[in-house]
Amino acid sequence: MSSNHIQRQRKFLQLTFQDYYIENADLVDIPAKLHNREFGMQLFSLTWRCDRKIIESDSGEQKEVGCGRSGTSYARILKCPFCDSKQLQITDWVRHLGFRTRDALLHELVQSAPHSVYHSAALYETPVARFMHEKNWRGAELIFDIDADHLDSKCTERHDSWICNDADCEESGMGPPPSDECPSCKGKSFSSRKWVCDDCLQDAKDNTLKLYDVFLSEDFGIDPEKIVLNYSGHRGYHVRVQDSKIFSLDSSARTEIVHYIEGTGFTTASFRSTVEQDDYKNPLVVISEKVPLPTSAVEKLSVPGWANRVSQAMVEFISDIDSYHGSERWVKVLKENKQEAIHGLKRTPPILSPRVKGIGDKFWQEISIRAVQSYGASIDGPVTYDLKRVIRLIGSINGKTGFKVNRLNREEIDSFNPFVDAIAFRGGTLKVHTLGGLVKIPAFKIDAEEYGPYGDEIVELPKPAALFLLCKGVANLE
Amino acid sequence: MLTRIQMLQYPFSVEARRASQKFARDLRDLSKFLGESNNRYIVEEAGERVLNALDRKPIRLVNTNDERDVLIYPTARLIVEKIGNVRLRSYQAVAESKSVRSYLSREKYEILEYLAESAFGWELEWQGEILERSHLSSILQPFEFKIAFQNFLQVAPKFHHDKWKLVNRHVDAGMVYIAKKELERLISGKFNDLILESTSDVPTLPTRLTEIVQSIETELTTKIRSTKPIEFSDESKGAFPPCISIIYAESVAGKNLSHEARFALAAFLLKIGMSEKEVMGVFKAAPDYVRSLAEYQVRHISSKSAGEGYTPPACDKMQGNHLCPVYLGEAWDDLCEYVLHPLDFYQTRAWELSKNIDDHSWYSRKREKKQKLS
Repeated sequence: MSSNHIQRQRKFLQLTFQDYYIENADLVDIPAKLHNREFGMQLFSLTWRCDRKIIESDSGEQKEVGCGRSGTSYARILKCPFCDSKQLQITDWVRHLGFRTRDALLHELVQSAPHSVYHSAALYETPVARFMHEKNWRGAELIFDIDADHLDSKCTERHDSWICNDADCEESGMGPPPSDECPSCKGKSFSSRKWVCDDCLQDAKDNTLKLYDVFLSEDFGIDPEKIVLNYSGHRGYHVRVQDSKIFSLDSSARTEIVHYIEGTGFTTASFRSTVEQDDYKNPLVVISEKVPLPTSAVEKLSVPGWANRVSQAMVEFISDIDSYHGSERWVKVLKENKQEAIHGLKRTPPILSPRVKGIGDKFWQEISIRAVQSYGASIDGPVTYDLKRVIRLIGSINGKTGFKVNRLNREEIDSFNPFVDAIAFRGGTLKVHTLGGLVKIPAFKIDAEEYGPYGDEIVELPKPAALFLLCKGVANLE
Repeated sequence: MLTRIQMLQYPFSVEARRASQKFARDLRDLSKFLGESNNRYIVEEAGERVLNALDRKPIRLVNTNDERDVLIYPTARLIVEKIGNVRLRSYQAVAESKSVRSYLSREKYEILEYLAESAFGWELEWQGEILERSHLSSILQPFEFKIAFQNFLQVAPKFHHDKWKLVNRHVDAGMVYIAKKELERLISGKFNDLILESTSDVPTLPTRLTEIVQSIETELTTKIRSTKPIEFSDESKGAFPPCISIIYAESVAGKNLSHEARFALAAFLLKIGMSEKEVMGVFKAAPDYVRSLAEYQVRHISSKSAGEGYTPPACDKMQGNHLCPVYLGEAWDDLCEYVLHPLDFYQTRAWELSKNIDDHSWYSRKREKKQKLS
């Protein structure tokens, strides 16, 4: 695509987004303690700076390059328009922004009409300070990002694709790119295209609900009034706990919360350890054929938190054992005795069936650990334990799709359909050139209408479908 | 609520703090007060208290039936802050918190509950005497208390037995079941942290206190060995912990790494003394290598906080990011169980390499296990 074309397309998307912010100011969520938040925006235009610096040429000669000027551009910029230096700092990001009032934020959104807009989950004394240590961190919301990207959903094999970057090879395939090398040319560099569909978004929703209902509400007892849910505008959901009692938790405390929710680090005790220790006040769950598992169905065996869930986790894990790829010694036996094992675990109280020959307490313990890990909700850990993360502004537009970042409540999320309810632009059609290439653009649904798959072709589509393709970077404005 | 003795035993208590403030509102006041000749015994006792901590001896409780006894602890803290040695402060934190823990073990549940609530603002629920707990499942009966999870997490992540991991606790509606002994450990652990994290502007000290500071400083040089940073060389790669070794090898081989892996590697290499240019070289083979971007990122990592640079993630974070091969059962090194940070691993292993030590059995004799990975 020519430079002019790129400029035109970026400006078009920016103007489209601008219309949204002019007309939908009331949808934009104003974060609590606005004046303590840092904002960051990804823009449609690029900001470049031509740094003055000394560089060393291949012959070892030192010379000064750069003129110190800066500017903005909608087109790709490879060298300084003033001095031709190629040593440019280019970014489409603006960080360290701060707003004291709602109007100031809304005004900036209309002015910049950014590709994406984020704000800190943290509260700072001076959010606009250039360096982190100058901002003075004063606590942070507890945030969670549930992204289909991390879920290994089966549908990725259907709609994600990759292509080898070697110009002479161009091998391509469906699913995630090869983890080691290109099967054809042994190259290691790939371009991948990730797609999104009802199935992976449903997986993300299921994980979000598990996080909300099981872990945040039931275990951590967080007041639902203090939990904010939203669709990310692309591949998943965000959950923000806005309870001031957790604001001061440090990174290691948040790591513990992540591990709890994922089931990472779950450890079991052996039957012998309970008998041998006099002062046994160990909270570890005993996994043994000699004792039943904890269960909420029997008062005397009910142990809140993970313990009561271990049997259910094991039932789910064993039911799905045929798709488990681990090479542990118990896998084969478990596959052969699946029904017997599940039968024992479904009894009241649940037991580890001694009839599953070849699996003793040690193996049961390993199985329970794997089961707990697989039952835990899949969340993007670093988002939660990084105290300085930024998160999308609710009510803004996600520039990767053109969809709204919808605020949702617990009831709404059940019936929420991103491909209908997050559509920000409707009315009219646009003619676009789809860039299917070797691997076609997968079919997708917008407003219950199915589109695609598309190869390299020119199509006229309803506005939301066309904007989705433009934002995904798989089509150009015709 | 607390007796006079208890006030002396628990210097972090509201009562102890209030009692000291009666004599001195702040450190400047305290310093002035200690300069008065009739208050000399406080200075001497405080000096003893610091020396005991340095020698890892138990803290002696001084009770002369004088209201001023309560000032011995803040004076001991003042001495340590004046000296400003991180390891001395850590010795003091350990000694003081150990002493608190031993007193707590003899207290009834009400005192523990009271101290935790009044001094730290923790939310606790006592589960009643053993008979009152009999309706609970046998697994829950041994736990005398419940504590709010956010309070538990202020301290527990620093303990390294599996049972302190939240995932291994019984958590119900925001409360974590804990045994009395565990509450004792949490309270003393919190006190330990308060000492370690405190920052204060030390005023000018009176003569006798200055003399004591100087004599402790002299003791320090003989008792605490200082270690020099190890210079980076090609052989240093042999001292990389398993996590960094793997990421390094993958990076050099041109494998596409996650953002977290790249960050950990870059921050680690910069911290052990590699130049920005050398670090950039490690990322050169990356399939998505863009020189200007790599330069920017590496410079950003190295220049954070006035040039000190980002610290690479500690073991728990590496484990959480699935970047610890030992945690995942894919690699093993005995040393990993004795450190909590890849940089600690590196420092110890580099020292071993420089002394040609390949028998690692000394870990178990000389060091405390900090995490269980097998």
